[in-house]
Amino acid sequence: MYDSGKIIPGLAVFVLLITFPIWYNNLVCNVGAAPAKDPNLAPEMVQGAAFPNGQKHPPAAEMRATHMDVLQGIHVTAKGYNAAKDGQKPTMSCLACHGGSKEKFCDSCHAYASVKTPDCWTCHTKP
Amino acid sequence: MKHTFPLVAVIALALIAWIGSNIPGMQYLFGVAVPYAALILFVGGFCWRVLDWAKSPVPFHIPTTCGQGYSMPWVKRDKFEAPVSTGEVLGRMFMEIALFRSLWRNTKASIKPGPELTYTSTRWLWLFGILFHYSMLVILLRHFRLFVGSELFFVTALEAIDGFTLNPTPELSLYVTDALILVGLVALLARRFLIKTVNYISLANDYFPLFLLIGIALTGILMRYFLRSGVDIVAIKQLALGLTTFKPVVPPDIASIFYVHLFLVSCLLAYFPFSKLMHMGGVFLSPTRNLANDSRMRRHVNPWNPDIRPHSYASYEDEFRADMIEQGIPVEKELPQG
Repeated sequence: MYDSGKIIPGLAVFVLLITFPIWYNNLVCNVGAAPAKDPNLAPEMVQGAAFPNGQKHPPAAEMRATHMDVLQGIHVTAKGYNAAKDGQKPTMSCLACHGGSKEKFCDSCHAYASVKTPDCWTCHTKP
Repeated sequence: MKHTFPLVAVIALALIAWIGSNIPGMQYLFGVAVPYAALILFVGGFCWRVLDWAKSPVPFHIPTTCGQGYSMPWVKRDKFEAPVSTGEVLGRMFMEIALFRSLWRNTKASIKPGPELTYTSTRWLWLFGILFHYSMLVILLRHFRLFVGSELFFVTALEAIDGFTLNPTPELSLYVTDALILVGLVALLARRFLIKTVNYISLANDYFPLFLLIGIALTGILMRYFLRSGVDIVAIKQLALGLTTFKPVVPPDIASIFYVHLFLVSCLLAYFPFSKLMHMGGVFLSPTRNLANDSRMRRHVNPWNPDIRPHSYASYEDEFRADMIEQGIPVEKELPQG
């Protein structure tokens, strides 16, 4: 073999970079368990729930995939809405049924999937 | 034919994954077995190809130069186009690998009225090549958020930069690289159809990676922006983390489009080491780029040269003297008397 002093280390660096998730997950970071779905959701809440604007609550699978669009939609329709008058209502309307805590209902999945938490809480009060 | 067959092959691969992942029990095959096999083929095949190249001798010292080489001290030389030291070679290699310098130098010959032969720079290939490669790199690095169990600084940074078009909710923002990779790929494909000379030399194995990459980009874009239902990020991350920690789990109810995406990526990985895509490793090992232009300073010996001993006329005559005298050929030294 020619130039093995350069080629072998180069190849080793490449293999280390490519397999980064494998050795990093097993040796460096502690991979947590996947968060439970719908923590603390009361069974009677599953059916017939509605949003403050009267819209029907979509099924769980659809919410999981599209909740950001749904929330964005509510946010846009509620533009003229006086949040100060209603206190914490907008954010509490999700959390009232879903566990009542941002950490449990929002952050558990967002942290697991490394998705940035949106800036809801810069305006809305944290429940 | 040379473009129809690869297109049909990519569509067939997508259909295999789409139909297959809908058969109960087959999710394990498409979600676990195929990705593992593809990764083994990719890493193993890549190392095998590189080691195979490392075993091949470089018979001649063949750097390509395109600037004034080292000569007299008062002749201004071009350090990066005709490098003589290791540092200069590193600079040249960096510009080649990170900036695609040889594509940047591309020229096009045309005949103007006169007739006059003129050369003009054409950098379209450079532009679309670099758009594709860097978009691909950013997208690959962004995918680490699905494969790694903790937040990575470079993923967070890339998501912020890449998603600058912003929308207040980052999940909805358009990633610029998602659009640019398609622009790059479609332009590289269009080039093979529209430029007559390029079309003539294009083969099925030029079209196949392009169609495959377009398929991967399209399924990814569809999943992120359009067909979101059934694309549960938590379930997908569970699958990805399971693969990396060797405790594979297949969460139920992941949409077929995800399996199509994963299967096409697996095909790309498995195909990679045995195709032209190996230029990723090959660019580091191309003798025309990585040798210094120092053939007048250092002697390059062909490693496969046979061992040829010098054979002087005197020793030649010693060997054949008797025969030469017999044939009447004059000799410098007669046969010893006696």
